[in-house]
Amino acid sequence: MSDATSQGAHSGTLRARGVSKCFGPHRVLDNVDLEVAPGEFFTLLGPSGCGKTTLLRIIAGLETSDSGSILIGDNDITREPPERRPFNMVFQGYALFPHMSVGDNVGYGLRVAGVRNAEIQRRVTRALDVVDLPQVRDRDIGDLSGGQRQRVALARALINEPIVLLLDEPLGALDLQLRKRLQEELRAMQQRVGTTFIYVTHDQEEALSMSDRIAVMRAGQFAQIGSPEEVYRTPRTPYVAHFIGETNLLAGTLVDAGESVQVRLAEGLVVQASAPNGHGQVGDAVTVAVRPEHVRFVAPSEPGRDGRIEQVTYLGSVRRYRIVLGDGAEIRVTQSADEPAKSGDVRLSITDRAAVALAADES
Amino acid sequence: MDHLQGVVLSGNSPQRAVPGLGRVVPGLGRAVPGLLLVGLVVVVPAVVLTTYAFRDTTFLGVGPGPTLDQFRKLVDQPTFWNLTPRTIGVGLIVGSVVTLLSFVMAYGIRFRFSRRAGRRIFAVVIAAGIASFLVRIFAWGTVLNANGLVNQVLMKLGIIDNPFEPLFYSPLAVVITMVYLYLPIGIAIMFGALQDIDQFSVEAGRDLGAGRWRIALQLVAPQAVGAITTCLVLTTVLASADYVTPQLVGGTKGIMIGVAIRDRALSGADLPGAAATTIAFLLALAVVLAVVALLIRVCRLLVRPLAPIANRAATRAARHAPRWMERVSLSRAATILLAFYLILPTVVVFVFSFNSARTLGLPWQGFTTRWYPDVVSRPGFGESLRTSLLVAIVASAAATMVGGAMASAATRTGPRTRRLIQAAALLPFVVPGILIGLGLMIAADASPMVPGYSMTVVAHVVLLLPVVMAVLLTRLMSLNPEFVPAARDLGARQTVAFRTITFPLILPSVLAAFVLCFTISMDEVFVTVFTIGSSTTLPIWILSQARVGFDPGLNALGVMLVTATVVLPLVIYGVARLGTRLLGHRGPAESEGAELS
Repeated sequence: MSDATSQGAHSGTLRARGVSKCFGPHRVLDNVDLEVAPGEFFTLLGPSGCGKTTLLRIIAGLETSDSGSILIGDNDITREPPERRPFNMVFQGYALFPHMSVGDNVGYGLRVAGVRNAEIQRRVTRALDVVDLPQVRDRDIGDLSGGQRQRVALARALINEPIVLLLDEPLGALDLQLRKRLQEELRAMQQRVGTTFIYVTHDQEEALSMSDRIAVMRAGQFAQIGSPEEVYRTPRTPYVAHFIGETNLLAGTLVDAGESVQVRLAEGLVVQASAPNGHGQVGDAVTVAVRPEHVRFVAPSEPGRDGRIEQVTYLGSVRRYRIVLGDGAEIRVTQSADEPAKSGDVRLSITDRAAVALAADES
Repeated sequence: MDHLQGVVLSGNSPQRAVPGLGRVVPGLGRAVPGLLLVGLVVVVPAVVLTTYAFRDTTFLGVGPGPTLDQFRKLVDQPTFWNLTPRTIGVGLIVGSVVTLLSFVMAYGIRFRFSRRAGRRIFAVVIAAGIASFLVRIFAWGTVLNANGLVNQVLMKLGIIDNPFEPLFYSPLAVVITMVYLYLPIGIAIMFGALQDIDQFSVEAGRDLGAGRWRIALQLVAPQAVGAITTCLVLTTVLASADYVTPQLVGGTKGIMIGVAIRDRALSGADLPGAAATTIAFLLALAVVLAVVALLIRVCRLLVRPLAPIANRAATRAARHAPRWMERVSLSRAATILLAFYLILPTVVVFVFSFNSARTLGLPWQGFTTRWYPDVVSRPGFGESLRTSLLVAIVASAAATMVGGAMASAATRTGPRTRRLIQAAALLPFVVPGILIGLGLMIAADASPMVPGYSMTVVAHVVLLLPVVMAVLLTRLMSLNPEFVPAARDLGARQTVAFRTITFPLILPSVLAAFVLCFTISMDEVFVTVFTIGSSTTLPIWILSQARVGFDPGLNALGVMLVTATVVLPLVIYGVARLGTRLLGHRGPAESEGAELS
């Protein structure tokens, strides 16, 4: 495996073709295709049970797929056991070996590859420097904090210089503040070492802040693959819109399908929307997805929809309003907390081009 | 057989296609040697034994069958009609008392002591449980006989004038001794069940105003019904089939059916007769136990209608109970008393091994160490010790490997196959030794096998499998399942991952299993009596010494045995554990690093 690493370092696109997997009657992955470019930070995002960890483990070789293949560059590695794949993994609970010191854990991959001891020492030192943990080499795993363990797991996975680093919710066990810091560090390190990262998480904020591209998964399939901005601004399905950030779904009718797509909502409010999936005929029923921050309070004289504020939540930087519209639909609105708090009856409008029109029958 | 061989050899790699049985039940591969052994030593002999029950006894040995002659003869025997009810009666009394006391003590350990204290008391229970079986029986000789501690103390106090006869060589002595012998097993079962009970559910009961009795009887006991039934059935079976205790402390009035079966097989060479007696007795026992199980079920059904009445009584009792009773925990006191009950006999053996009197028990005639050289120099001691050591070491090593493979197989399969493997491994523990032993003897009679050293080793391996499984499966299940995948992901082949990760992590448990096996094997009588043939192990030799009568030399021997089987292994285990701890962090990388710096 050290051969594969040195020859193919930082080269070759990772491809998954038609990968399917069932656990008993349950279909975990359904004919998934994937392409990750060298040096990319690629995130598999989805709720638990969507198949993201299974896909990662199939790429690592720890799980076998029922059908489909895994390729790196032009090499089909579907049948290779995990120890012969040029990938390494940071496990969910880190899986650090408790009977070895930090240094032995980090150097394990080199030791089983038969690397000379002096060389192991040199590279362990370097790996621990990379993750900014030079002092803990001789410590017991049990004596480390959660954040330190995470870094040791990272160093252990990086020491073999894998073409692709697989990370299975590596920050899941840490508290919020530490998680935020390590997110930045991980991203910075990925850009520094240039290794391809495939990162599994269920935390949409984490995915947005770190990734080059995100694959939003649902029930064993990709709902959408795109840059963070794409999946946030132009979700292709209500599911994606809901999973990434908060969203309001409003029923409407397509009134103009020309240069600009226009949708008429109930009470006659017309909004300009984008239509990432293309659009249908004028008169079609559509669903409009609108982020809470794109709903504005307007004066009663302006066009808009009327509603009544039911609840106000103060979240520090913003206020979040739960508003019931005339037809009984609920809508959520956020507004900078610097603005004065509102209450009672209000009129709402939607920022132009911020809404996304989706076919009404898509779920 | 050939396809099974394939499974055994290819059990290492899950990725390779596994032929034969492994394909039928995936992941079974490594369990096959163990399963075969259990079949060979427990199941097949039991079947052969059953066929023997339907054959004649002739002076040449065994006649052709099938015939019901053996059972016809049995019906005419008054001894059978005497011994069967007595045996089952004693068994039931022992089982019930053990179950009750086990519940009380396990309850005390679990809920009335701190975790640490509880663990220590449980360690005492386990130590008492693995201390030499025979020595624990002898101890009661010193306590109960005419010159024994109880009688002498009662006489000194003027409560009785003459030694209380029923205390020794009687069914009472058998019951007292057996309760003591089987209590550790009961506590282990019960404690396991009580540990699964959520501490918070008990605290919630408290919070809702339930008193102590109500918590014990209405919250805890119903959750442990399974364990209570298991404990009752298992200890009743073990006690009923025990033929050593009645022989040593029962006298003529305390003889039980196991003794008759053994004599018939060994002295009388009447294998069909022994087989028929065994079958008839086990059938009777099964019927009685079925009735008992049914009664337990009926009791459970009655709990609901009776609960309000019991509640009212409990409330009234609580109101009238004196104040001080609130502060004293009965189960706590009982736990302490029972712990002493478990330790004291061993202490008695130790103390009285230095008494220079020829008779067992009081009066104390002075300190001597002469019993130690005396017993060691008796003819047969050295040889039987050598045989025992050899059997114990070989059997323990083999059992650790076979059982380890079984445990490893159990961790890789689904829960259903795991339960199957666990049940099979538990079989040698549940099936009475007399059935396994007699079965093997009969199987040997029906085949070219000869009882002796090799047969004993194989039998011991199977008897030890439950222990190895229990220890190693627990440890393997507690390991992070991602360790091996992590190692393989880092480039280690399956075998390397096992050698560098799994094995070092389970090594202390492997050692513990081996030591425990050694202790049990060194002490095994029930099966060995039948399988050892003309050879002798140490326990068999001791048994032959005791048959002549108890003497203080046996106390000295007891001290040596307990030392050898409990203290020594503990020391070895401690040293080995310390060693692995020290070695654990001395991987090549670090030792080199230390040199460099």
